[in-house]
Amino acid sequence: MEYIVYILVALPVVLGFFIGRYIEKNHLKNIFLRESALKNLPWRNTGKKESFPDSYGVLVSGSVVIAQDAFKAFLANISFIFGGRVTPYESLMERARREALLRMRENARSLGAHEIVHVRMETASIGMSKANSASGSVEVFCYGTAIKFQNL
Amino acid sequence: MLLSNIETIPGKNIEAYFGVVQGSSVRAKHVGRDIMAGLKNIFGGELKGYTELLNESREEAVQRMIQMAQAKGANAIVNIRFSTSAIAVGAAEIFAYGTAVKVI
Repeated sequence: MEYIVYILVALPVVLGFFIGRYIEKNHLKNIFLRESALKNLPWRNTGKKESFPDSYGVLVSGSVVIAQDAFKAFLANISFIFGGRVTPYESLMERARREALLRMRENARSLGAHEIVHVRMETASIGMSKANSASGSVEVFCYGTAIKFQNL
Repeated sequence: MLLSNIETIPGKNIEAYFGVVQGSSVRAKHVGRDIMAGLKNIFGGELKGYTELLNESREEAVQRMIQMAQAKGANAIVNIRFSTSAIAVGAAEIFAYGTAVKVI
């Protein structure tokens, strides 16, 4: 009987290790490809007080909600005992932020923009308690003003 | 309605200011999405249902802000800010605010 309990506890962690790692690897590969396709669309977080004569401007945004996997949660629980860097979550946040930024930039690209100014990013955790099934998922939201020059 | 998160509307001149306008929306997920999210927490990856939910919610907050600006006679909103807060387990509030202006 005890074995069933052990298996039930260990199975999500093992599944999370294999499938979670596979998903993360593919996601990073995908992000890298899309980023290199958007190299000629600059974005910056300045430009609040600039005026842009002879151009169009429109608000663009991108967001993503990303979940941890069971293996990351397991590793994080270990580091909560010893403290220090929680590297599994660092890579999770990096993926989320890059994905949200990419979605915003792809949005701007589809509108024919030449640059994005005053980019702001914000992060919100979705699950608040352990009881909530979405605990450990995080939302990243990016927004900025896409500028299209009229004389180009 | 022209929207921007900088202090001007590119290519336009601001004629008049009408003050701050705001819009908010509180949304909760439904059980089906919650079960899927529970599964996703084992495998990791994007929670598409939640991404959609928050996007819809943000859209609604922006629409409410636009309605408020239209009621004041504005045709653009500048310096828009968004903020998100989890107010209860499973419910999130999206809040959008900006300054309503008239541009030509």
